[in-house]
Amino acid sequence: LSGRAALPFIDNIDPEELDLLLVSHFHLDHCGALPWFLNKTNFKGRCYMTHATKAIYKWLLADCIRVSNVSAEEMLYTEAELNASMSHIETINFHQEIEVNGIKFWCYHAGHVLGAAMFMIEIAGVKILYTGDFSRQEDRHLMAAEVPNLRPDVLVTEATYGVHVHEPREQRENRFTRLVHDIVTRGGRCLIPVFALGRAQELLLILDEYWASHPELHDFPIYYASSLAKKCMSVYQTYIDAMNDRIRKQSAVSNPFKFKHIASLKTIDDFDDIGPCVVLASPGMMQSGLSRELFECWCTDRRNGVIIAGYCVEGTLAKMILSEPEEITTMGGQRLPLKCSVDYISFSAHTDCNQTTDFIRELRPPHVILVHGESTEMNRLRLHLIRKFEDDPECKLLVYTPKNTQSVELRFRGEKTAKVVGQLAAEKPVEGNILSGILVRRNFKLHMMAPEDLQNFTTLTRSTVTQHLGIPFTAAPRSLVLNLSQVAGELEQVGDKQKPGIRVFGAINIFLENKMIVLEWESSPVNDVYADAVVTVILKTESGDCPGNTDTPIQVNKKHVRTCIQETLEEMYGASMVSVSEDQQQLTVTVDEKKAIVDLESYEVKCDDEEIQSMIEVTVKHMSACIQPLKLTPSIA
Amino acid sequence: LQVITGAYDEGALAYLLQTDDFRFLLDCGWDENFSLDIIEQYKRHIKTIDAVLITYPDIYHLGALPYLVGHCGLKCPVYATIPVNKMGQMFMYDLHQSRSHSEDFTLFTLDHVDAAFNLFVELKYDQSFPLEGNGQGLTITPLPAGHMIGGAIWKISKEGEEEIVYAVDYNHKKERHLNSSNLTKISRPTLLITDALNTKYSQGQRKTKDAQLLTTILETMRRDGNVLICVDTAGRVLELALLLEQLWRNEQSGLFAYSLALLNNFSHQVIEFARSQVEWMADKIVRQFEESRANPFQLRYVKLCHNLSDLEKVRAPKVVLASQPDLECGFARDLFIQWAENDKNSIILTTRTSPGTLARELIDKPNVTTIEVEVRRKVPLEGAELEEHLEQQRIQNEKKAAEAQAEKKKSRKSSRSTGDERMDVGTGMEDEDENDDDDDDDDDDDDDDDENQINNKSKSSTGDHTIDTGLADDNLFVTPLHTPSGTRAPTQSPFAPKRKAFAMFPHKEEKYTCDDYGEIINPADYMVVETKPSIANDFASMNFGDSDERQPLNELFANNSNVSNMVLTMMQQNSVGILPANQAQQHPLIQQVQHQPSTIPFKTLREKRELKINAKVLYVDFEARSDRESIEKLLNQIKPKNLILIHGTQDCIEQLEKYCTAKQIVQGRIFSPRVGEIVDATTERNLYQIKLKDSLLSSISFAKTRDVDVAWVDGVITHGAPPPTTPSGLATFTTVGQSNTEWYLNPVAREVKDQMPPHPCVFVNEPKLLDLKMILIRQHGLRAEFVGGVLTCEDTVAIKRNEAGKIILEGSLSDTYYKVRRILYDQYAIL
Repeated sequence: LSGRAALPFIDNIDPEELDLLLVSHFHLDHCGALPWFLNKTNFKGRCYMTHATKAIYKWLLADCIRVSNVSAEEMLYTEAELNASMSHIETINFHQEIEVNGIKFWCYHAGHVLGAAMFMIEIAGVKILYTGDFSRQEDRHLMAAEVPNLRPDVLVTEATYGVHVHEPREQRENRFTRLVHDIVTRGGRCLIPVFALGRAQELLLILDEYWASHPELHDFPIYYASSLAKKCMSVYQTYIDAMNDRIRKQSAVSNPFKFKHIASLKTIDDFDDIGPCVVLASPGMMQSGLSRELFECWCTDRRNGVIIAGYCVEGTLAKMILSEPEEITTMGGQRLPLKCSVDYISFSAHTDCNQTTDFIRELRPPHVILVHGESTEMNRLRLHLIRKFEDDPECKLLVYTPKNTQSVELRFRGEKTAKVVGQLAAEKPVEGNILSGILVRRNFKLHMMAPEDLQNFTTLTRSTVTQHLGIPFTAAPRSLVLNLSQVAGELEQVGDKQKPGIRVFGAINIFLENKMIVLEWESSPVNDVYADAVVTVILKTESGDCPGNTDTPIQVNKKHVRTCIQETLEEMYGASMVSVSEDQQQLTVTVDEKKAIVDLESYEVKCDDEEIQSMIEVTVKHMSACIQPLKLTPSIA
Repeated sequence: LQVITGAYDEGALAYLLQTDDFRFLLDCGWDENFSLDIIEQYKRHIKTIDAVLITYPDIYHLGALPYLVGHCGLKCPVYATIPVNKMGQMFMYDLHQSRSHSEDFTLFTLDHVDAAFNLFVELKYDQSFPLEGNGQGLTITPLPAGHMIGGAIWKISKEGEEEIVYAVDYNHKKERHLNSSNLTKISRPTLLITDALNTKYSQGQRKTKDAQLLTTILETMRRDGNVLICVDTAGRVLELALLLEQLWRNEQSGLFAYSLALLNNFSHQVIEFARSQVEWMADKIVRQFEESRANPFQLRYVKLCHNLSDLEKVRAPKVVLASQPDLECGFARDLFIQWAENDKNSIILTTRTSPGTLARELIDKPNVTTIEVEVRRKVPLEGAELEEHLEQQRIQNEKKAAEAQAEKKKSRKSSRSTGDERMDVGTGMEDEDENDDDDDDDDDDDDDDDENQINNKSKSSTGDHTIDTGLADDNLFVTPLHTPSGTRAPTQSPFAPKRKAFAMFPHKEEKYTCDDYGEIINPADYMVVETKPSIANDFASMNFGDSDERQPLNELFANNSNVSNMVLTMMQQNSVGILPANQAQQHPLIQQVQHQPSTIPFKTLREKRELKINAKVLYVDFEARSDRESIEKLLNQIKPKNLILIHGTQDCIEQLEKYCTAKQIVQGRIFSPRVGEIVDATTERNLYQIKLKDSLLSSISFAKTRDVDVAWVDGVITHGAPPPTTPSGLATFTTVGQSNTEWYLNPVAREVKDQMPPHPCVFVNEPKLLDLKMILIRQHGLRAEFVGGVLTCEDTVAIKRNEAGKIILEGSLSDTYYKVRRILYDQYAIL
């Protein structure tokens, strides 16, 4: 697969909806389409990777563009686009917390390769750990993947090696160095096809150290033949702080990536093939390029040896020679006998079954999503994990193995916690109390506070809007006052002598200034409605067609109300059941031989039977409310 | 908060901050003169400190750590960024070496420095680090501060609500190698602790400063003089090195022909560390590295020198960046004494160090022509003094030998073997060295202090030679080459015997033995003879001692039966100028002698000299600290609720205090404590957590303003048991009383709600009239313009803001009025 066909299934998502793009490390299967994605889609989010990843990313992809032999149309992106993508990429340091649109994320060391990161993403309190490729085994220059001290709710992890278990590190290093030692001392040339970055540096460190402690080997040169590795060596020399303690201590004395016994080869032409030597050459699976050329030169000699150090894909020469065939086919089509020794030592820095299990045991995430691996291996790992944790009461594990484009939906019951601060929190919470205040939601965090505290705890400010509305008015002020009092009930006098005014609804001030009425009030939904009412009254008065255009305001008289109540009650319960006391202050209702007394001053109802009491209460209340003018509690802005 | 040092002055910084039961020490500075008064202040609190936060790697911010760890038993973790840790180590090593070059320096040893730095916990910028134990619930976060690499502003936050920010000496401007501080990101911290040092000061433009530096250098170079630039060890020096490197690279500057050197005891390491800390530097540098792999500290023109003899090899005229910036000790002082009297030379000071130091004096009195300088040198004891000393030692030795012969053998064996190993390996020596030292200590247990020290020193210094000679081959032939005979010999000789010098605490140095430059050699040794007559005379006068001094030295070796004749002859034959050769010859012997009690003891000679300053002394500010204008601007943005002002002269603090009061920046209180004074900035804090039931949440509709959603909530409080499994890490703390119940907020029942009085209306947000105008015009196509500060719209509606900040909407009854009102309301979240 190459070109467009090798892209991930991006059609299934809308890049525009993405907020954030996190790149775990610089391997092609993790960042290969990035320049295309950043330049040629409508992605508008932000993209993060670690410093080391970004530094290597550029050189690695530039190298890819150079060696890929697809035609220009098929190429996903050009070098110019790659360079343009650099400015879109932001860097993040390990452990540094960054917040984008309320999504908080930070990264941990992942082992695997220089700059590899595991991202912990926190959205509204739900934590998701994406491991990318990781390794829990410390090696010569990288630290083991850290175990976060927080428990993630979802773990997205790789299943590349499935249930496979790696050889212990010492053992495989010993085997490797012994093998190299044997090959060169028997007079052979040792070819180690490797991917230019990542494991190659680890192997170089091993070899450099081995050579340093074995002076007898100093005559045999070691080469690494990759211009890419050479270019990126300065990155390795610089980002020491992303490596393990051993390297960091050592770098205080001298930089471990300034090798003493290893030289770099530019091309095969610079190489004098005169005797035993060790060559690390890319590509790692010997599809083409330098490692293939050297292999074809050397495979016919019995003394020579090839050590395959990494993962090989089906169908490549590296995978093929592992089955030790008699003959191989060269790139030119010739057939050559395969006589040199072929060995396989896995230096892969991917997590294996045991590491993954331990990792999960320490994190105890409720959900595990396996990605990156062949489906059979992945399912085996899933079964293994479920079996491992089925007896563990502490850890109820749900494992998912989604296929490509299949989405896993997890629901988290959002029990939102708000912090109550300021005045509101001055009193301790008491069962049954009512709490009222402003709830402020910012980046998925909730705070509750009194309006007065808004300024103290947030960047928000409270403000007030005062409105002054002018209305031309030529009618008699007196009729206006009358009309207003019909609508609004009581009127208050406000203002001073120069500027007398009235206040209605306890909120709106009305002033009359030569043929113009000015309404003044503080905005709030309720006051606005009042103001509208006042405006209507004014306009009606002005046009003279106000229905209540009489000189007498409604005189609410108690007697009238009393009569009304009495009549109503008589209709409800029968006239004989209702009697009025002598001083006209009380009204007695007899229902089912129970007496209810209604106080006509305060409209209170007293009765032994609650049901009757509430019934009469409601009636009385409604009656009085109907007849009497509004008594408003003014809304305070 | 209690001030230990650094209030109402300009010296070291150290503050004790207590939040609840947890006590932070904010910075741990010491002054150049190592005043023990400060230590006394520290000692009182040392037991109670739970954590130390360090901002910058220089002496003012971490100087006292080695002493406190070494002598006072400070054991708590020290938090700092990675560069602060690394560079801080460089600072302290260099300081120690600079001091012990010229005198007995016994306040702390390199061991103490190591011990102190072992306590460090390295953090990254923006990394939230939750504390444990007493500090449960507290999180510390370093934020970039500029000024020096790795420099930090510390944010201490409690349960995500209270924030205490400790920001000193930050730099608001971007520099060549560092980003500016992002103090602006902090908003409304509960308490801001900041310095007022620069409130009477203006930083000036970078361009002009650069130009000033360039012209001075050019002028001096052209008249064949040398330039001494006094810088620190590993902080600001990076900026200057980078600047000069760029100047040199620039072909038009015409500096290409001259030489440029960086001189301090650890220049090589400093630059090496700087190279590996690219990710801590300015964005531009990071980008440059990512795109072209060009590490800015791959210095092409700056030659790294470790001692004056290295410097000697650099062709004059030259520009030298030397430490220490205060001119109190170190190579800068040596060079200053040498160069100050020559009017061709220039001396550029880059920082205002604390008052009383030589450098400060030069800055404050720019026109001073003579200055009294104390010249400190280490000289071997001689004559009667020496004999007395030897006698003492002999007696002691015998005693010791009798007492602990067996032990001694053992120790000797071990130390010898370590000595051998040193030559091969050269790394990972620390452990063995410590053993070595321990042995010494055991032996000397009963000795009196004085003796002990000398003993230790001599032994270890011999160890020193073994390594140096192994690696410093360069010195062997190069030095004589560069020695113009004649004048040379007399000049050196007075220093030479001293030089042999046993002067340092060498086991530390072994760590660095692998570098190409080798041993530290007495600065004065290899002085170039371009020196001015006055100094030559001076030296000459000191010279008379020469032969006398050497004589006893030889005698001494003769006394020491272990030293063979061969060495003696060697010694005599070799002029002292080729000292390294001497050492090379000696070293096998010295190894044997290692634990012999005698070598030359030292005393410090102090001598006052009037120094005529003829050289041009210039102060160019490369301090990179915020100045008044920016401090005020920042304070305005940050608006802390409470403010503590520290570090700065009385005037400065008062001025800043006045400013803050005038502008009403601080809601709460402003403190400016004196040394030792305790201020209580506790704020009444009401906080509890409450869980919102889903049913409540679904009934709320949020109104959006800017990036925040707000809503009015009425709810009934109930409490219930915590959920059966409390996931760790999830916020489960409850601040109010009960730890086992959680409070829930439920929706209010309908009936109850009807009875509640309606809540007051709240308008949230504060729209700007200008924005409003744009909205009116762009989105609604209304005519709107400002007339005398009032926004008028369609000539009928006016919107203005009165003094109290209230918005007033005025207009006559019309459609426009209501339209505008609706638009205005849209700017608010109305609850």
